[in-house]
Amino acid sequence: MITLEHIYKIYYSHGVEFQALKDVSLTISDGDFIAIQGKSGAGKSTLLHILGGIDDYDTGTYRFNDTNVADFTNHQLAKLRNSEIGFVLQDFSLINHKSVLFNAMLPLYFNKTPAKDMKPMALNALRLARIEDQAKKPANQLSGGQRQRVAIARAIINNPSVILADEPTGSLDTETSAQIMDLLMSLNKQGITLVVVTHDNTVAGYAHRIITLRDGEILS
Amino acid sequence: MKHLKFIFSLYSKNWLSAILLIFVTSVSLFTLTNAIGKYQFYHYSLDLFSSTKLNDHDVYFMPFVSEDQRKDPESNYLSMEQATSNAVQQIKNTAGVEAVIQSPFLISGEYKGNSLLMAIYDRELNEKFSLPLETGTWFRNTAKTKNAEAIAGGYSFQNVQVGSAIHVEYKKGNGITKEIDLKIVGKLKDPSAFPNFSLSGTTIFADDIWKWQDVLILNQKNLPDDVGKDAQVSGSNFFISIRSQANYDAAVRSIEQFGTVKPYRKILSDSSINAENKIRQNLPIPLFFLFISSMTQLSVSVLFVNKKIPEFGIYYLYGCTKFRYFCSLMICITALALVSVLINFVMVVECPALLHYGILNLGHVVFDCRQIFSFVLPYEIISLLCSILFCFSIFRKKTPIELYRRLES
Repeated sequence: MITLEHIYKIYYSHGVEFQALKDVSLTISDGDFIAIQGKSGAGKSTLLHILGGIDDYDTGTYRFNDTNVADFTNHQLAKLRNSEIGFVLQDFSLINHKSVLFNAMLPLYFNKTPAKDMKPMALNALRLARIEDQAKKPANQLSGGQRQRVAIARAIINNPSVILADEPTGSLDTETSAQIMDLLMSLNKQGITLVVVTHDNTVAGYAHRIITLRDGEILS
Repeated sequence: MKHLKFIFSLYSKNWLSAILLIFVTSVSLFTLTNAIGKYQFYHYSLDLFSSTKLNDHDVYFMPFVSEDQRKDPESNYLSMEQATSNAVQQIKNTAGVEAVIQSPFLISGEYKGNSLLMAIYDRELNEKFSLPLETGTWFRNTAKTKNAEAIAGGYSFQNVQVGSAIHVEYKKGNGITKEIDLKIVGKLKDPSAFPNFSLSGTTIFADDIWKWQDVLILNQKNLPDDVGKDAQVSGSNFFISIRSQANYDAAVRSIEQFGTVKPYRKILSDSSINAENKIRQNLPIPLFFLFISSMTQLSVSVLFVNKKIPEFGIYYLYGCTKFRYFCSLMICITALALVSVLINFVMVVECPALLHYGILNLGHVVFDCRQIFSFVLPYEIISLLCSILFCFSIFRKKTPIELYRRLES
């Protein structure tokens, strides 16, 4: 379970203060599917970064499974990102010149998975993402939909409890978007919590709950 | 293993620059090693010269046989050898002269298909020019034996053990091949050399009085009588040992009428100056190469880091910390430097063989693994540390969130 209480985040750029998040309180239960919507600059991505432990916050409390994330060391945060959270991004964020298999097994390099288990685990994740047949291809030879499947395979390889997706269908056509959302939905049905930042109302329509942000505040 | 795999994966897109760095660094390090090797050679020849039993009242002598000296009392013209021999005899009879030390007589031979020289040491050479040995002892047995004692020097004898017997072939003057069995009692330090007084000139340096070659040194007293007959004199000059400092000036004045004298002490001091001059002449090129190598190291390291920084945004999302990623990148760069040092090390170890078979021609050099630890490794460590510090200054400015945002945009 994820709990945010009174989170504030201010950015300073060239001496100018920008309030990215204002008194954000939010509870995300296990197995939930939440869509975060809002205009550009509303604070959606900042919220996702804080949830993913890749950005910090100024005040407030962020608890992940009842543990205060503020107490985490860099190493513990890295472990959290590695084992509990999977990221799916709009531009797929793959190492393009490397093979699909390498990209899928990438998170395993940073934990204690034995080397001999890495390939079978990656192939299994690619099978779940329905892209196993492309395992040996370099990532840059795949279509957009295939790349997003690889990114999903990489996100689920460590059996995370949460997937954070930032515009996962933003670079895809309607048909492929539907396929990717079906895939994410199937993962959610298996118990993985989904938090999706999206402009797309169709994508938001899949969610159990929609959170709208405006000027860093939650409207609904 | 997987950590190594991950580190190895970071070389992707950087192979060309990695190969360039290894090439430039290897060449530069070898240029440095070669320059130090040359410097060590001059010092080694000087040490070898200092280790002889020559003393301050011994002189190097370059005979000059005048037209008058080439005629006998009946005005018959003498051969140069005969005239020189007469001069030597006259010098030996000069008051204050204790001994005349001539170059060893040489016989060309063959051992296991490799041509070699056998240098015959007479009593005077044995007294004054016993050489430093790697193993074994200098000649002890003075009786004639079936297996004459020999001291081996050079790459041809690297696998010959002290105490073992070897079989050497040589050709007599009439072309008939003869054989001789020798017992190895000692092995010369590398590089092997034996005295050869053939160079004349106004300046004589320590390295001029040695012949740098694979050799078997034989003891004249210990050899079968017929062996020495096939030997040829190897140098027309010689050392003259003067009995004492008190006799020195008078003796030198007397022998100067037969040729030119160069005092032992003068050769030593000239050689020291020569060694310093040689390093001064030889050092600018390696220093230039090292500068190029350091710049290449720095540029390739920065290029490496800059090319790999964007990927960090992705690795960071999946649990790679900034410290770990930076360390992985630096291990990549360090490995390249280590490969260059290793290549240099192999070159130093294999150089005697490469020089022996003529694959490399570097002139006279003394290679030694200590050079790697004294010069090459410290240089490489300093150069590497500078590159790592510079890369760190670039890397520390990049925050993961900044990289992640750049990745998103």
